[in-house]
Amino acid sequence: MISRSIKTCLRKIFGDRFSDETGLLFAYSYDAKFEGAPDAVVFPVDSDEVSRLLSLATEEGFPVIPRGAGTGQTGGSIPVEGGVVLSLERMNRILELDRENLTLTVEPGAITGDVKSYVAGFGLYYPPDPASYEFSTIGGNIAENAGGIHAVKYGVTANYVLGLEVVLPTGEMISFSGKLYKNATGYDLRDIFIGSEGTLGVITRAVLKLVPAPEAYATALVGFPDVSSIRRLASTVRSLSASACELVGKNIVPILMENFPSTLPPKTSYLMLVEFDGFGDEPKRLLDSMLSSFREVSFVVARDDSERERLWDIRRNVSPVIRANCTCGVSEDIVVPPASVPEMLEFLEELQAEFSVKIFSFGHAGDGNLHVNICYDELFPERQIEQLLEALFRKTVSLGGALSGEHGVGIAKKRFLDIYLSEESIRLHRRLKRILDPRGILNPGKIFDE
Amino acid sequence: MNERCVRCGKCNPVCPTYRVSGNELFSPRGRYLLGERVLSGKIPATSDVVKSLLSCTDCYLCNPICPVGLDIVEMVHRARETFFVRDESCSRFSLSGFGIDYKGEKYEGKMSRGDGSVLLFPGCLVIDSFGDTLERLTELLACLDIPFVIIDACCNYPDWFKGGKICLPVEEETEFYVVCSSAYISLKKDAGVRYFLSFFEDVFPVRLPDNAVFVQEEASRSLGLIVADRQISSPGDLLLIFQQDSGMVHLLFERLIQQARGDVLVFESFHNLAVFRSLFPDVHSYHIIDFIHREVMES
Repeated sequence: MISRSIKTCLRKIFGDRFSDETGLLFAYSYDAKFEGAPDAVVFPVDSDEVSRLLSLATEEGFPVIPRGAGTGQTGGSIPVEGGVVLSLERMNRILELDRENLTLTVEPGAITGDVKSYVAGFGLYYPPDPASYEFSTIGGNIAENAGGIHAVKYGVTANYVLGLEVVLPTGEMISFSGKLYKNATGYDLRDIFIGSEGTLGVITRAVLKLVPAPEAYATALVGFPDVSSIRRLASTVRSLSASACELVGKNIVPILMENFPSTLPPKTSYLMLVEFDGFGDEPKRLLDSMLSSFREVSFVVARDDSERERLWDIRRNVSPVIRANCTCGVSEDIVVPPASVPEMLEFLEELQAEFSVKIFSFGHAGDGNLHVNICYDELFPERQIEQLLEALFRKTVSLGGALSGEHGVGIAKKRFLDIYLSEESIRLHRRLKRILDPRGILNPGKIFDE
Repeated sequence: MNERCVRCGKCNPVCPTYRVSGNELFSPRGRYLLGERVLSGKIPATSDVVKSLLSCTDCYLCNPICPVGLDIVEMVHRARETFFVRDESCSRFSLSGFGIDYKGEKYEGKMSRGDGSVLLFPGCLVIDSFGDTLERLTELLACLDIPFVIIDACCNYPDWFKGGKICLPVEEETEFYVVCSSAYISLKKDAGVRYFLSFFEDVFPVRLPDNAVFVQEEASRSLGLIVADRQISSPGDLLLIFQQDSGMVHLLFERLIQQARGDVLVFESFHNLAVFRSLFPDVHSYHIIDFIHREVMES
């Protein structure tokens, strides 16, 4: 609980953009998966206000939890011990499009989808596209280093952040790198804030890198009978620099077959949606060259935009299918080296049999990031879920993988962190955190325990 | 189908009050989850909870977006019932108080009822916020020597979902013309209710110029656009054409702006016009009445 005098100070800084009313506290107590109520919520409109809040928090020692749109999957924006939620929703301006340098300067609360459609109006492209891009924010995407479907060709959010303005937990404001595409001057401190899950600083401004928007696409839905084809297919797709390589796993395919009869290739256990983008007829040429080297697969090629949309509809239908067939379960987003995806899929089959659960897996086969949805009935013992997750993470790490590809650790995977990070590495995390946040006020209880 | 909110937040950016407020309390996800808890008694209907639930404009943009098919607006309506006290006067909760400033002065209607006159039912949004437009409408009627009477009563849109009785100062089965399309939805279960455009269609056959974009209530809700010389008729079956993944009211509006290169943006829905003007104050936009008025006065 924060004291009355602190609330008075906050009211002085934020006026009616401070609230501790019942309804509001509830509205700021959840993300897509976790819950935890704050003691107050503030809505700053500039970095100066963020700085004043954080200085006060460090002085008085109360937790501050930065929050974008509250759409995270791992509890990154959830208060675990009360405190003040710092909503960045009002800092959502698009500040400057620089068409010479191909950059866009934005405030953190800008919705990623708005940014994408804004730059599209100028023939430009901001590639990162987490599944939530239409409703999550740039600040949240940077803090979680969000990925997405096109990461296989274009990379993740970190690859599109040129400059950052950050307010440290102590209230100091620092700008990193501006519009520079290269910078070898001093430590690359900017990157420690990308993917820091709001634990090291609050991003108050970002300079994003843009690329020319592709003008042509070639899309195919490929079906194959067993995992053995995946390895060769995914590696070919990567070597041809496909812009999407999305896998749909075994348990989902039969349901999709019912939902989209006649669209799906015959004799299918696994599906892969492959897309090439670019200019002129290059995408089509690349797709043809890929398909011609595979005899064991069946495929459907989109002949026009509406057919392309239909193929993507099938991919978009995956999450609704899982929701409809999985009322109770957990969802993980492990990442392995791309070539290890088939082995991971085989392991998931074993895991499913061993624990008598149903596993729906899908995801970004091209970059090795798999979404693993483990479904069980409500009476399934908690202890067994933990055993199952531990087995999953141990296998992931043994294949050279990591616990999360794009959702972050948050509070969801904190207890498994030492499966992936060494003791030394966790110690270094803690030391870094203490240097930047001496009183541990910024988003405490996330990633690791202090 | 799973009928629980999965809290993804996909509905939030399409909501006009969330876009304006940047506050989860005034978002569809916030209202749905609050509504659930108000109904189960877990959260009391404190003043900010009431404000949240009353601030929903019933625009229905959120419903088609929901990936689990929830009826978000219906949840808001049910939760409102727990604290809603019926008031014979207009409740006027729709958009007011959300930073959406309406243009126009309050219209002071002074007409009294006469024999054989047309009965006009503007609704509170029109009377309060589109006084100029209402005056243009009465001017048009005066031009044609059509006597009319303004009914200043509440359409009960706030509790139409409860089937609340409407106390209009007209006898049963009396024909009257409703100006506001939202009020029309609320009132149309009564036999005498007519939509004003069906009257105008006969008197002023409107033809929009080629560069006009005509935004009908149901059209704007489904992202479908009706362009140019389409005949204007009653709003008919509202909320029919929902498309999955449609929405994003601002994107729709941005598209409209691009399409309306000649600055002719004509709205049929006062509600949508109000939201549009709040988001794009610099773009010229008209209500269909203003547009007809301009055409008639020029000719």
